[in-house]
Amino acid sequence: MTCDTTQLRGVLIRKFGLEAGTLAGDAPLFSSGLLDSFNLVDLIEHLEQTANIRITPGEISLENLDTLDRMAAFVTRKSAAAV
Amino acid sequence: MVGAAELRARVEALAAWLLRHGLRRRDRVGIYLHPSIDQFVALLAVSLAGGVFVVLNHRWSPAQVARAMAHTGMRWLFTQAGKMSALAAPAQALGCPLIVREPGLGPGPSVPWPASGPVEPLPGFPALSDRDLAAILYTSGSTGLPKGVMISHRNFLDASHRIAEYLGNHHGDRVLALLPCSAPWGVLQLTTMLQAGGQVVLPGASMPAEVARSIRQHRVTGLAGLPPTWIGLVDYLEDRGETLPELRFVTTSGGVIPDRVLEAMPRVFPRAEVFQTYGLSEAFRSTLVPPSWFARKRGSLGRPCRNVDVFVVQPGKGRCGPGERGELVHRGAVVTLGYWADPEATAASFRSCPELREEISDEIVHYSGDIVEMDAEGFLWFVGRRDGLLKINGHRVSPEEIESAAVRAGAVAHAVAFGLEDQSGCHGICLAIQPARAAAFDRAEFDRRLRDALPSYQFPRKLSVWAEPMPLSAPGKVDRAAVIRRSFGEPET
Repeated sequence: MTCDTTQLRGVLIRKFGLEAGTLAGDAPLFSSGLLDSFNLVDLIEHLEQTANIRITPGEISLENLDTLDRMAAFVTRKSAAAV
Repeated sequence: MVGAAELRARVEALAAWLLRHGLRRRDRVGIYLHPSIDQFVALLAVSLAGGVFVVLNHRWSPAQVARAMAHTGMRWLFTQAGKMSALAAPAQALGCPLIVREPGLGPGPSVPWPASGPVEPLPGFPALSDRDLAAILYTSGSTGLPKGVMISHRNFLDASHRIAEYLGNHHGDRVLALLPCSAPWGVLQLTTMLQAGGQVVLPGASMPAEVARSIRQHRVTGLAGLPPTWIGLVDYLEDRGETLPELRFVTTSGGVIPDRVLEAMPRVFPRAEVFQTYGLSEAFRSTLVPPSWFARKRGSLGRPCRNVDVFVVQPGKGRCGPGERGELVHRGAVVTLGYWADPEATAASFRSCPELREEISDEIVHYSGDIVEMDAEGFLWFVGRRDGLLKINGHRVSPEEIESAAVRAGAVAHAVAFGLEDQSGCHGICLAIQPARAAAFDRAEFDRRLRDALPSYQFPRKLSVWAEPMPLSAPGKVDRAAVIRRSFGEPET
């Protein structure tokens, strides 16, 4: 299952009340403080449920999750591996 | 990186500016900034100039900040340009200019952050008494809105010395400052390092991977953290089979940590001593499990520190012995001065204790609201709360506050907020609401308004919208237990 940046943008807008204008594909989400650790927990839960993947603690990093583009690529990779 | 001399220069310059612009002794000055060197400089400068710093959690909403502005009669508020438009109206109405690094970007009164650099001869900074307030820091109670705890210079100095002593802080220490300065424990990260001549390292993102990276990159020697920090960091390290031998001390507090996480700490922090501690905003850093007792007393609140008096009392009965449950009461220099402009709340928690009259007469003590039990070795164990206050991820959360915010967010007849623990041991808030008119309920609008009213750490993780009326235990009174039982396990709507 592919997960794309547009879908994830929608998730962030709905879940965290963010504005579309602040969410370019490469805009830093966590390192910028736009989302915090409480948002992270919610987001992980959502990604695991909707993409049917399990994200291990060791995978929770800025490399995998700090931008919409990275997040989409990460979830896509995980979904493919789970199949 | 800012060295001691430069820090001093910046603090003195800012303090001088405040005095030249009319700061009077004991005036309150707000700080609503991300954790940063600016935040540290501002709070130290306000203190040096004889004012009272009011650090507000940067996650607070503008509405909450405005309330604190009015409540404390704030003279100025240090904040960021991004917050200016939301705060312009209250700043104008209350005569509290915003001090920002980029002025002129919005309406309302603002002044530029004073430039550092050599100034004219420094004014004489006022001599203070140790009873003078250093700060007003807000904390939630079980009822009503957050209360401003009045913290004296003595309270901070006493605690700072206590902590630095048991941690053995020295000039080679580098502390990663994860705790916010909107809570006393956060400020103490800064004071203990200033005292010891050590270093404060500001973290990047709070993700465990980033915390580990900061620790390695800056050779951090110790840190203090709340339960989510430890759960996240330990799980991360164990998942990757990694350790952090850089750390020589770790301090836990703020609530329950799953035993599996505590038990793993000696493995993932192989060179660290673990200090389990306890305290409240109203009486902070009061008890400790010495590291040598860690393995035997995992999960304990500890024993009272030096120069701290703690009693366990049962109202109407007396002092509790080992194995008996009672409320933990603090007495002495550890007790803060009360709640700002809230005599009722102050009188409710800071009062004399009839059960101690024989020993200390009617001396004022602080009732923690925590029910505890002491074991045979004198170690305290948390049993529960006397009231309904929740401790979620190290933050006090008042169910009433969330319920009020939900009802104010509009078109909600009843709201029930409660805490829930997930599999990994993290706590979250669940909110069940009964819309006034189910058919007309706008979920997105409700979310938006609730988000405006509550900071992220109070925001419910699960929302259950009741399509049918909630069960009542009495006319007009919701049966909370029944609502919680039925909402538990309902799929997220």
